Amino acid sequence: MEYINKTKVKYGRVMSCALDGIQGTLVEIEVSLLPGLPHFEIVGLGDCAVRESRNRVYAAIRNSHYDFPQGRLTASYAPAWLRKEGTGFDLALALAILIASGQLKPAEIDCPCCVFGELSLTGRVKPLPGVICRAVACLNQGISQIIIPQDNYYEAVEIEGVNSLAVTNLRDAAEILSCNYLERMQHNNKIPNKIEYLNNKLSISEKGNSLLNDDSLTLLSKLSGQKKALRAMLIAASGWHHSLLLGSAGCGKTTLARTVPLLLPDMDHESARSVTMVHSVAGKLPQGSGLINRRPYESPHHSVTKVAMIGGGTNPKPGLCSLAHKGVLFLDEMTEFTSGVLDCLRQPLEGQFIDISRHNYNVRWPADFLLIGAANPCKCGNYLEPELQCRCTVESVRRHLDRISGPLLDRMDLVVEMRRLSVQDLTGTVNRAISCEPALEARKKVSQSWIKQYERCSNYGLPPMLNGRVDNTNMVKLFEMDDKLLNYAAGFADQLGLSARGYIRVLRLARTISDLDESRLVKKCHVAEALQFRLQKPV
Amino acid sequence: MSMNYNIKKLARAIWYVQLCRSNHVPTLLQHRILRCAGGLDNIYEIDIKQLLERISVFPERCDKCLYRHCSDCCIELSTRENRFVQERSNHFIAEWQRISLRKEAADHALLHQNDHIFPLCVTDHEYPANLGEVRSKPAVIFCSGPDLTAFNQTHLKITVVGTRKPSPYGIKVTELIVEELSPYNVAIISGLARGIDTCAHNTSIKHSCMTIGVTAGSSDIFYPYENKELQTYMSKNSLIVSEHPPGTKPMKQFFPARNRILSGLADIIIVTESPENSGTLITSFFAAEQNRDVYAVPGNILQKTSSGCNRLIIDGAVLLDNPRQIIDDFKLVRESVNNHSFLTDKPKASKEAFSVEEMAILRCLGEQSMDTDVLVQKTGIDVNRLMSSLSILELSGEIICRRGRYFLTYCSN
Repeated sequence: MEYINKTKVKYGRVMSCALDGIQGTLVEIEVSLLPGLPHFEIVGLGDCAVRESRNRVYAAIRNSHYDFPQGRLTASYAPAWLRKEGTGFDLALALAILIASGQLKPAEIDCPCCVFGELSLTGRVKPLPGVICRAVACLNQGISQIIIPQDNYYEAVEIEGVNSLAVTNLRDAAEILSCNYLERMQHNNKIPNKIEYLNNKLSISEKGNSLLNDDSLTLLSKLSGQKKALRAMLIAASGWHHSLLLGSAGCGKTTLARTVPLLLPDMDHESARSVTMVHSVAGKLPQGSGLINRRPYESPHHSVTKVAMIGGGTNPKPGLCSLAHKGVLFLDEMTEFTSGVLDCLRQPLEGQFIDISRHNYNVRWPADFLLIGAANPCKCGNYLEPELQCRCTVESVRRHLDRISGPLLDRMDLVVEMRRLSVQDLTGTVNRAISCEPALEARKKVSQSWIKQYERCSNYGLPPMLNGRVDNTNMVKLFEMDDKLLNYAAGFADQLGLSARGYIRVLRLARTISDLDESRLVKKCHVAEALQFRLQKPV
Repeated sequence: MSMNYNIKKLARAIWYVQLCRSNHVPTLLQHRILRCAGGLDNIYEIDIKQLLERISVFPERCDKCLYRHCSDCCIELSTRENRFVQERSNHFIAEWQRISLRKEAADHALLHQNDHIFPLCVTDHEYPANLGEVRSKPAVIFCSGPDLTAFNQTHLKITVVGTRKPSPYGIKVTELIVEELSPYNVAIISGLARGIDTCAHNTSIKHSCMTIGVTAGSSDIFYPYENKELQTYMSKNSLIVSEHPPGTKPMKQFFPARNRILSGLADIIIVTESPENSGTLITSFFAAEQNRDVYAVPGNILQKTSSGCNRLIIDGAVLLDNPRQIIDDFKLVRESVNNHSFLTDKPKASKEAFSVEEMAILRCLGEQSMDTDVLVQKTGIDVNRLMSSLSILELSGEIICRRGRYFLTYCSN
């Protein structure tokens, strides 16, 4: 952003930002115009999209009624060792060229400004993925002004401390750069629909972000016969317990899993920001949307590959388990997933993040999802159905469930056995008036139990965590269980032949059940109820 | 010496069985040839061509034939035997004389010399008397176990059969019957299959009662594999019987044939639990054919798991509601000093110990087994309280959960 007014040195410099996972790194874009035959080169480890930007920038500059300078033009992206990808540097490059050729004289203010945006051939500025991540990176680097495409305005505006200046074309951006600080601050008032957007946002937050629309109500009413399963989902949502649903085809496993995001409390600002960042990098953010405030729900088909599940690729992209961050990852037909894909989930289940290491990058994506698996209990699917004859042998039933590896099964706190609804149940659901009362009440219960759990953690000086996340070392202390109860539970576990892990799972569940029950201490009946959700071995 | 003899006999038995099988020799003819030869020991020496000619051309002059033990081979040949002698005997005779087959069998026998398998043919006096009465009995059986005398000396040989996928009720009934009968010097015969069979064997071993397994494959092949331990134990300590030479894997068509040995070995058959269209019913049809008494344990008419048993009772099987009935019917005398009787010692749960909710659950389950959701509907108890009551009942042993449904452990109340 400085113009060195010497006749021989024609040089321009603009800051931009490259992405590495969801972390951003500042990139300095320098352009030097030297005498010689017309030539335009970009150096600094750019990928194809970066090299192609030469053509876009050339056309955009000409079509915005600027002159493209004659001579030998060299653009350098520093740090030069960092791989850069994508189209986000177009706008910065064009501005740097304008500065170098003397057509744009940036205002001499000490407040640095970061620029990102893709250019169309006419000079229009197009939206980008990952703008919110870049904004966060700028904030962390002490840059307080960013020039961004107007379509990305609402996601960047959520980052407080960074002044986002939305532009629609190259001329706009050039104009801002030449303005002084005050003029820049007034720029955003020109953005259309801003008032409407803010009003809309306000009304959403006033409604308590209630996501219970008609669709979800029909969902819940369909399940009114499945008492045990609904109870299980309530517990899963309250304590962040990963669950496995077992049942024949058509017994409502998928429908049940879809209710879980509805039961989860609204995300706080920080969670919403991290969710939006992941979605933004993946390019999954709807155009013109701000922060995501719906809990994500991902249900991949079982043919999903490892990379699609955990992320990766030539240019790092977040996988499904990161897109489901703070929400629900639902694996339908869990036994049909390849074992490699399932076992990849072990790290995120343990640490709530996933590390991807390839030869040219190391990234860490957040992956704090609630895993809900659904599977048929046996090959023919009718193992749990009293009316239908299941021809599977005990051995084949065992083999069927063995497709989910032991370590993964160990992380499933809840196992629910479901069966198809009978005709009476179905008529019951049709006749019953659809009301959102039970759903709203369940949601309220979950929120209350979350508050209780967080309070308990803060009492013991631990970071806030839900019961499903508590590790063994803190458990006995945090769960406020006395020896009598532990002995009682151990007796149960012994009688049922539970493993040590199984025993711990029961304790966790019992704590969540007691939180739902608004009881300070865990009672025997809570342990007894928790036992109903263990995995029963086929006999 | 005896070891050598055993291997020699095993080699001959393997050779004979395989030869007969590959040539489709009718069972009755197999018996005839063995009788003429006077057992397996001299089987290599007989002139099979002459023998076949004699018994086919001059059945009425058989009393003058050269071979010993020829008392019953004078009966006229059946149509199947006739057809065999006329159409396929040439090939059979040629195969009979091939030395290579005998060598192969000897090698085969040597391979299994440590498995303690001893063959018994129809002429051997140890051949189980019950099975001897059966017309379609196997010509040779392969036994593994210490010896047959213990089996022959038992007062009553009982075959206990049932479904492979039993309900808790079926398991309970089987345990109860075997336990009650075990002190009376009986032998419990079963098929070493999953479910009721395994339960019957295990219970009799637990109460040190003689037990015999009849496998569909040979006795050294573990099927189902999860019964490996049980099968190994039984081949060392009691007895496993099979009609196949060692190393034969079970095939689908072997199972019905196995069932005729199951019923043939026994004096009576008890079917503890069987749905309709079950292999168990094949066993009971064989039993009826072989004039064995069939006892069937009745079951809940609302559940399909016992419909086969109920059908048997309709068709004339004896309704078995108390194992004492068998003891009285056969005037069994208690031999072991074990005075424990299951029926008298059955824990009577005091009704006062249960809460109102638990009683309601027990009442509902008394009608029929059901799952949690149906129980919620029937009892009207909240699902969370219901589930904790279910756990408590389950742990106190009153109910049991199978396939997501709850059953009463003692179906009498």
